[in-house]
Amino acid sequence: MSWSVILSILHIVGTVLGVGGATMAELLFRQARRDQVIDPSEAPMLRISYAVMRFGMALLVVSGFGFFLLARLSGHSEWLYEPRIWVKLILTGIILGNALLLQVRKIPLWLGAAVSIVSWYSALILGAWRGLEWSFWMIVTVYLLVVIMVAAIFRQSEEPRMKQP
Amino acid sequence: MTSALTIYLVIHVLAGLAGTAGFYGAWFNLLRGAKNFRALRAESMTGLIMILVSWVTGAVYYVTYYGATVKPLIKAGPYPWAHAFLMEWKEHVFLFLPFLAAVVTIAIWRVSPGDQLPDGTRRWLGWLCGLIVFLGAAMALAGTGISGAVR
Repeated sequence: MSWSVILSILHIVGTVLGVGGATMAELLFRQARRDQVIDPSEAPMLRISYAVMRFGMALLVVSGFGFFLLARLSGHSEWLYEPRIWVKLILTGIILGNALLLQVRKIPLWLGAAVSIVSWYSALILGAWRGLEWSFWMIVTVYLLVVIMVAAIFRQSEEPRMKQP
Repeated sequence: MTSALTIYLVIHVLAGLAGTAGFYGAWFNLLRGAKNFRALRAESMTGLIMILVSWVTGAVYYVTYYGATVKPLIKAGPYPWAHAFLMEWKEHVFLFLPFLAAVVTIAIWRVSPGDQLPDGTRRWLGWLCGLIVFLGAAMALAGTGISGAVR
């Protein structure tokens, strides 16, 4: 089995765990918050989802940089200047930074959730869409527009509950 | 490139990532109030050791191979700024980062496990861990940019 195949498997598993973990964490969190309280039976499920998401992120980062090394060592360095690769790198930073901001409650939940979900799915789409020929700024603009849209939806969905006595 | 240099380059990159991840974990832990002090110690020590490993392997690669073989290729290629700016910047941070990591790790290890970290110390250590993570991530991006310029 070549290094390329091994890295591809790790990258796919990392993506599945990361995107799946982020999706499950968001769904479970929304379900748990319906009654405004995260009770003891719901907390372990959330913790597992976050752990799966973190493990997925670790696999993605290691396999991603493995791909960079492989490109460099096999003489395909030009691949490292593809816009979608740089957007994926920036998305990784955004996901990690967002996790910290959520942890210290410096970002509203609806915005943090929107950033997390949209970033994970954007990374998935960029990874799968090999022939994408958009410029760096085009991809970033579309990403930001989707974040704003999803954040507005999440904000709207939180409002009725926030008004409850 | 010889097999030994290839291995050094791979270790340089992976250890750099592991070192940054260690201090990201420590930063997260400090922001949570440093309640898990054993984990905080392990994260900072892992981060320091990995940064030192990355430092040594990167230095060997730089001194024995990069300057003579890679640098001329980049300077003659379409992205000479990858050396002139990215590598020059990386070289300076490279010298500074292990000392910063050592300061944080020593400060954390000097506190007895039973003792509570004072809030002010915890906040400042958090800022320093954040700085290490930011510089580590920027170095990873710069390394990617430099590698991509080798044509």
